[in-house]
Amino acid sequence: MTAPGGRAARVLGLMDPVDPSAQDAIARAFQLFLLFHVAVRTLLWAERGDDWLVARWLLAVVLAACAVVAWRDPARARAAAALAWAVLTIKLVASFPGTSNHFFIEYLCVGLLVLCDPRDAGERTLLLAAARWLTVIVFFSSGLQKVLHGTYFDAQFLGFSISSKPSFAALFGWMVPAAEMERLLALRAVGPGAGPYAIQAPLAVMVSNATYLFELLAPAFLVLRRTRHAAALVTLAFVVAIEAGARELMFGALFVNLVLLFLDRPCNRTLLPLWAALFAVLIAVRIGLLPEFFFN
Amino acid sequence: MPLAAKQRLVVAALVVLAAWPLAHRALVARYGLDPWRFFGWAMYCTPKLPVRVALRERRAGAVSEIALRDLPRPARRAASRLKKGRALWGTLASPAGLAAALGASRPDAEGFEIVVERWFLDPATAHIGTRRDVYEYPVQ
Repeated sequence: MTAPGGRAARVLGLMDPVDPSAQDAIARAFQLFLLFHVAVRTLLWAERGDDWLVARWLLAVVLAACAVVAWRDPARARAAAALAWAVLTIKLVASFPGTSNHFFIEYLCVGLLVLCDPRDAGERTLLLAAARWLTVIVFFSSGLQKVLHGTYFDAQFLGFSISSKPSFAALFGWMVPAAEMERLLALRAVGPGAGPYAIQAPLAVMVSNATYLFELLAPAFLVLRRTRHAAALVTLAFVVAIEAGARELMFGALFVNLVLLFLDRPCNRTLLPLWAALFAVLIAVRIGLLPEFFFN
Repeated sequence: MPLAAKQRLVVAALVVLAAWPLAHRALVARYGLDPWRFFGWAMYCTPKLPVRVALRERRAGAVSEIALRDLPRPARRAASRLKKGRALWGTLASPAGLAAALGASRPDAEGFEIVVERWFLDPATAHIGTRRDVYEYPVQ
């Protein structure tokens, strides 16, 4: 359990598991996934770079070494995480302000691995509680931003995406009648005054509004212990559907692993070989060993 | 660092993380910052649309367009930097650097006009709207 006393401890304690018996295994699997994830992401970033190639590859190699050290020598895992975090800091400074939001989640999570010693029960609990809070805050904020930008009420953003991206049209076109699809596709040449991108089809409007509603409401159910496991499973399905559709495989893998932290069983450890296979496939695609397909 | 101190640090960071998206939204609305950046979790809220930069000069009282291809490399680079800067930082990206590069490349001009046009998906009308900012730089 989180250390007693103090408002901070009480807030963090809201994320304590119902059954803490597997938290050691969950924390260790999260640590390994994260370090290999950032190593693979940096490898892919180095591979597609066109400047500072030596520096990029050096950062990728160091991160890969950190992941391997953490895997082979758990006693040195926190030191490896510290070096990885230093490397990520260099990447953050070098990429700002073009840094992706995905990277920032990685950066904060690796920072937690440095701050907290997963071998200590109290710090392990802090690590996992912080990662769970980070997940619900990001999820809720994503829904809130959709409301504040106002582009989901009439499925305007979805309409624009269907109009301008064949992958979106293929994924979401079934929600839109043929005549309206034709209208949206005719708006493909974007220019001032083009539109309207709002969709009339009720199903598409419903799905568009359901997206931000889910992002706003799911966090509450993830916090409440009574509903946490069910909410985690539903959230997993939601994240997998969206990220697979958007082909954001790396961000999808990261967010799935964050949501898995809400389960009391070490499902994230069970799935580690799956991520290893996915990373190997993505690397093989990028270096031409497997047929090319687009992914983020 | 004791556990209690780490807990306080983490909660403080989480509070900032939770509050920042509201500030992010305000900065996007006020200055036109790129909503996909700066860790506001506003990806997939608005489409990524172009920023256009148009240049004009005044000579002998007449205003004429300047084609980018007619500019020397330093001025073309400055124009490119302004486009990228505007896409990220919105109106916080100043065109002063481009104006200086234009002045250096065309010393006979009486003045320059830099027009920055940004497209956006207007949620109210569901059409593509434009925001135009016009900057005048008379040559002293």
